[in-house]
Amino acid sequence: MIPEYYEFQNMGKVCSGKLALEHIPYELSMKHASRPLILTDHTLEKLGMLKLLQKAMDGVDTTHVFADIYPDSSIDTVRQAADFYTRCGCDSLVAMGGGSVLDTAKGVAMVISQDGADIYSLIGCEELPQGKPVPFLAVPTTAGTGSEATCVAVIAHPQKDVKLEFISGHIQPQVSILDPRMTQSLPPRITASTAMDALCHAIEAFSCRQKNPLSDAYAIAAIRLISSHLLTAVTHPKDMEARMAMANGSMIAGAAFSNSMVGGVHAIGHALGGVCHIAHADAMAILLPHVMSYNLDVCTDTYSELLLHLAGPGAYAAANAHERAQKSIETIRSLNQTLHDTCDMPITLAQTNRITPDQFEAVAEKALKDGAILFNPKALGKDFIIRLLKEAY
Amino acid sequence: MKRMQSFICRIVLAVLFRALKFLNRKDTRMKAGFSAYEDGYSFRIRAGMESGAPVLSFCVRNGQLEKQSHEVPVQLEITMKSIPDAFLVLTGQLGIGASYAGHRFFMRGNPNEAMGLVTCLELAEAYLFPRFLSRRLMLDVPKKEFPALLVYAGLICPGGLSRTGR
Ligand SMILES: [Fe+2]
Repeated sequence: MIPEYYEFQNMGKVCSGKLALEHIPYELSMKHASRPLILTDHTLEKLGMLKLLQKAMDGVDTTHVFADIYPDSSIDTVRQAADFYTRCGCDSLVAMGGGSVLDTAKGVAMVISQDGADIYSLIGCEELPQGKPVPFLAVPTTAGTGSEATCVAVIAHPQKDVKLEFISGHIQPQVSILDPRMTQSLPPRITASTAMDALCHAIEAFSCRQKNPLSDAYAIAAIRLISSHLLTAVTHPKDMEARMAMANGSMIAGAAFSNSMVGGVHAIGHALGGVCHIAHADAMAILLPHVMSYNLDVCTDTYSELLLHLAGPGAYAAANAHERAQKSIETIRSLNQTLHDTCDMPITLAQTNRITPDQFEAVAEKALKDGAILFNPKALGKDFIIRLLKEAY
Repeated sequence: MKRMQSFICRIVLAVLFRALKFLNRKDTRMKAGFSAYEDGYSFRIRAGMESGAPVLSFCVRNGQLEKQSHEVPVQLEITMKSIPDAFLVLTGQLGIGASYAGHRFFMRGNPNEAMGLVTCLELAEAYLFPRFLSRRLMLDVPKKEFPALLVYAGLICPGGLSRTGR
């Protein structure tokens, strides 16, 4: 189905696989850059990842490092990093880390490209005009957020206690570096939940209101990669093929949902994070089968096709046509159960130990104010959200 | 053609503001929607990028909606990418959710704060448009708390009905 009108943007280059890090100097030189600001966090520094990156960037000045980035990136951090960039006379950005580091880097890229404008003045959706080009390379160290391929940055405003959303085609990193060394030390529990976040991005992109032929192609590729390699990545962390499949799946899912948006799982998941501080990836894994069950009657064809990509041609052919959509949901439930048995990933809200039923009302209220709810294929009212939370508890 | 569309958009924006103002006094969900914004919070809707495109600027002041100058900076500004795009939305041919999904407008301000306005606009559409049209525009049409005729009467005579005190 082709929508009446759609837009799609994915302008990034991808360097994926063995020795990808060693290609950073070449990529920088192609952009006439030689003095990057490296953005990362202290945990990755302690784990030796920063050293690994600096060693790989042979011949490039790697002395300018900003590592004071903490979970839930803030506009203060963006301002400090942008000042540091200017003071050091840097000419490019290399961001190595998870969603928070990459979102901070997107904020810095915006500020620098807009000639030092205050980050708060740049907030908006598709409103930012193209500024001065800032070479920007992203090196993700988790396989989940897909931030390296998205046009979105979420940055907190601690004084106002709100999360600011920046949506612009100009904040997408120009190069994504996917190197197996970056994710091989991720513990199984984190590998599992972040992969479910990525799978959720792909499934929501494949079924939400803004889906289009291009986002479908990306979503299907991501679903296939993630579903066929996730268990291996969890049980055999050093399996390079599985790790690269997860890194690629996450990045491709990021490109899909950046264009087609996400839906009810994310709207409720964001609210669970805001009200109860449930980790985003855990919320995604828990909610996905419940929201899919809710959407089933309007997504029967989509979820039927999903079975082919999730479970493969054998399972698809073996299922009766009218059972396939339901089987897709069962496949997600059984994947969740296996991950719970293997590495203790929570599959009910109660197992997170962060929420009690008296908070459901507040969560539902907050979810209704989340923009992602607009893209869910079926209207989600407050009563339904509360019912869904009860089921997921 | 474009001039005619621009003219119609200007009229619809004026009617829309009157409806929002009226419903903010009468409909509990509209009231809750706007009162979630801090006092003085301001909005602007531009029906196109051209300098002469129709504009609606208003703010929430002491729980009421007030029109304000188009020159004053606002917290949330929604600009339709063209007058024909605005025409589609303002004449009920395209839903607000679908126009967001379809990249028909861009926004200055925190997108996280736009949902409250979107809910209020959809509520106004549910009163102003006939049900068969609303059902095409929204996944779920909000129920009316009172007949749409009262809103139309309120548009014609905005002060008269406010004394009924609901
Ligand atoms: Fe997510």
